[in-house]
Amino acid sequence: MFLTVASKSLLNRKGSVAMTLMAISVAIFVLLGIEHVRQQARDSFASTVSGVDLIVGAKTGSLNLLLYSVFRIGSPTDNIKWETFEQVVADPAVSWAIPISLGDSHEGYRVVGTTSAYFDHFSYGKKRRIEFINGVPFEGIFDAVLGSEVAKTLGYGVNSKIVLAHGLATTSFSLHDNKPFTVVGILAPTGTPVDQTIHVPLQGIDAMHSDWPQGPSNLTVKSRADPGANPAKPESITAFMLGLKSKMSIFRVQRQINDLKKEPLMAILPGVALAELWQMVGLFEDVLRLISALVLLAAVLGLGAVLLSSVRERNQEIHLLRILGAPPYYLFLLIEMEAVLIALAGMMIGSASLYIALILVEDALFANFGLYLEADLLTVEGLSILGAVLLSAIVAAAIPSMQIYTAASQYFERQ
Amino acid sequence: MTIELQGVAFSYADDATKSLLNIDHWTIARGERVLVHGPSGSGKSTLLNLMGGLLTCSVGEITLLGQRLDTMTARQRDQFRANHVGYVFQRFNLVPYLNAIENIELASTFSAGKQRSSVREEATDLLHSLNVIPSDWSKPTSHLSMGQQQRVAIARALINTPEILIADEPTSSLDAENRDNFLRLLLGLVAEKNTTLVFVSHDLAIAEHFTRVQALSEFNQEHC
Repeated sequence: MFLTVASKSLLNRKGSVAMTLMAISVAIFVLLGIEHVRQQARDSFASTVSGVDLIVGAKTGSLNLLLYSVFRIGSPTDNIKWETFEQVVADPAVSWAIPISLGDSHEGYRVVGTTSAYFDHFSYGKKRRIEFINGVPFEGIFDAVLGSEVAKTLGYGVNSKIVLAHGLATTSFSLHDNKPFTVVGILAPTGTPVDQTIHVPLQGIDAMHSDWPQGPSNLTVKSRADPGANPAKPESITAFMLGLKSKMSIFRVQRQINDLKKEPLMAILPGVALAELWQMVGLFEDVLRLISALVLLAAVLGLGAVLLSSVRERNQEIHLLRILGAPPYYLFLLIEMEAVLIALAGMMIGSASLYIALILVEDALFANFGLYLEADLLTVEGLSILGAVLLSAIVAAAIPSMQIYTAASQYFERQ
Repeated sequence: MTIELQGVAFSYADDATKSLLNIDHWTIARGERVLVHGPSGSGKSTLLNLMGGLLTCSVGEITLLGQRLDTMTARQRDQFRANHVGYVFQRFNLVPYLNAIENIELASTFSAGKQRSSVREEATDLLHSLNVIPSDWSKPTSHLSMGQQQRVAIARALINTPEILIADEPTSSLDAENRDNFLRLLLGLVAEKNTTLVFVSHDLAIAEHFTRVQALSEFNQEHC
């Protein structure tokens, strides 16, 4: 009965209640949305690389190295000589190594030159290996393996021919169109930048550049003259990832690489660099959270104001309920219940619209930012936000509730 | 005695110099139907509020059904009122956004010891005997006519089968036909349930329906 009175009383004041409800819904949409994107972005970034002990590149900032080697964002400062790579890998502590060579693109998707070690050792998420949904890893020089997004967006399948371009723009004039690559494999979706990457053998990159007029000056005469014939060793690579036999040797190997006299290299621990990245983003996150908290504050103050003004119109109900034997706290609880009902309805509307919005923007976000959002709002953080909303609605309603309590206790003492 | 007032004095806090009510001794026996009349502002409503425990007197004893109202706590008075006293007013007897059945059920929730299922049954019985047609039961009471609203108000006041029914000018907003209809139904039910009725009105034309008719000034000595 109590619930009937509270809900019918709200329905009786549709106009002002609907406005408040909208304000609360928007606040919940913003709060949950920001928290969700934040959480998912963090998870998505953190799960981009796993099982890699060290990432090695030319001396630069550790963030820069992380960004270009793993996220394909930004550009490398310098290359690494192949001999240096071989020397580092020769260390008995090293279990495996994935060399990567960047700098080319196809239709705006980055091309990564690597070896088959990439498919054997690179993992993401909770040590999940890369899987093929179609085809096999590359074997020939002009074979290519596509990330799932590349294949899906550009409509490629196994045996499609693709022409790579130097640089990153989709409309690059420097097409390597005399050296088309053949797609031999397509990877399963991973929710990481791998999905947007075209993988080709290191030798393929070198061979492709071999007759390029202003090709990299460090190409050997041999590969320039005879690109197809058993290209033994590439001249240089952009970066490489290392897996070590024992975690104990990580710092020793890292120090050795950092101290190399031959070439100025740096080795980073992906986890540490990711943490550093989030530290930078953390301030931005705090600002976003502050803004959403203020949006909530504004909404619950609006709720309090609407309930407060309703108290003045409710003399008739106060009179009647007191006559019926309702104690003053019944009226206190009635106002609080109305606040709770508005908050609960706002939560449903806010989360439902966020859910729909997430489903709508999911693809666009993933395609443009490589950000993989799950439309899963029932997280601990999400629920604690909803709890906080409920609590703040109750607190905001305390003022009108106290006022009606006082009015109800003294109602008959005025003439 | 169902109602007994002994040496009661009352004045409102914002007008403390004037003692509005000053009643040496006034009693009503079980089943009596008392009409109290008097000019407006003479303290009739205040008397009714005192008798229902809505107000407390500064001096004197008010005893209802053998229980001292003036020594109870506020919560006890609320509970006592819910269980034993029914009220009908001139208007605003019902929560406007609830329907007739809900208004009656609401009244029963504050009273102790009645099953929810039996409440609905009794409510429909009461509405039937008060000539409220079933199609009006589920309308918000603000959509009902004044005459209908007052009849629903009787059902609401009687749902907890109170020993005492207090009526404050319940016919003043009704036309002659509705007024007679209302009184006939009310007094019929009161007689059937042997309820003690205290009815306040300035309209002496209805005096014939009551067992006792008293002007407030007969038992209230105003002191200035």
